[in-house]
Amino acid sequence: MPHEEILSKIVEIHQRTKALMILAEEIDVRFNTFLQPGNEQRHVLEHIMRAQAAELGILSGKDEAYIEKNYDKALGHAYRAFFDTADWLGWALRKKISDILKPSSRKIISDLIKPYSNECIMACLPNYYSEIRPKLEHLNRDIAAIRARKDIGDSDNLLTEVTAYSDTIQELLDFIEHITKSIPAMEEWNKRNKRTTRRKRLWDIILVLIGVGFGALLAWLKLSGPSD
Amino acid sequence: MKLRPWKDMIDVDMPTMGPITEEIRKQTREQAARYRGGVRVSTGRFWTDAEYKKYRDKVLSTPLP
Repeated sequence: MPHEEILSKIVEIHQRTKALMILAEEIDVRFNTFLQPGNEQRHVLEHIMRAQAAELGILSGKDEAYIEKNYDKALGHAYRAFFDTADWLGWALRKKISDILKPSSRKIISDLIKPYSNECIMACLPNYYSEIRPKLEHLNRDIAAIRARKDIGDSDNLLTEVTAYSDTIQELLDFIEHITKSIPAMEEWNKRNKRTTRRKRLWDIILVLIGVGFGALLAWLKLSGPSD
Repeated sequence: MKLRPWKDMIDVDMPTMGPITEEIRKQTREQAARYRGGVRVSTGRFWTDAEYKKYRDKVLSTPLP
């Protein structure tokens, strides 16, 4: 692969990683940062320096294979930095979505909010079960699988994967915005559902009482009827 | 001790970062006044390796609603 092509890939992946990292720090449950991607980026710089040193003639006696090897390694570390960050952002997004739809018991007590039922989610977020949840599951699983690969930079189509994961993350971010906007609708659904349930329960009690009353009336009529 | 010539350093690996532990976080916080980097790191707001793995595994194993 020509050096310019590798370098332009590194530039693109680096910028995409930065975009994910800024977001991940904002979304992170503890507002923590994750230092591992920074370590990978340090290696990217190191390998580019080696390749450039040979290309610029600073380092003598190094052939084309040396330059190529170092650019490849730089690309591999850039990919790893991207997927480390994507993994971190992936589970942070999962936690965020989970916290909105199904808050932990501690949060329920502190914020006086209740988890939304499956019916409520289906009614207010119709694409959650069909699109969003499978996408989130795939994202978490696939990124973990890519990170587990030993030679991450070996695959030819990793740049396509980087773009695809960036797009999926964007979709999930849009979805979080959509959920946040849907909270009033979900609250309204919960209230309406509570009212309907209460009314239904009231009707059930009334029906039981009518039944008991009717039974009692029949019994009374039978007892007070003409006796032989 | 002698500083090596910069041209000899090109093929030398950077020092390894090593595992990020609770002890590192504690030391970073203690030395925060001398640290000139980001506030987030100097206040210890970073995942240690063990913490990251534990928390990540917990989140990923919790079923989505």
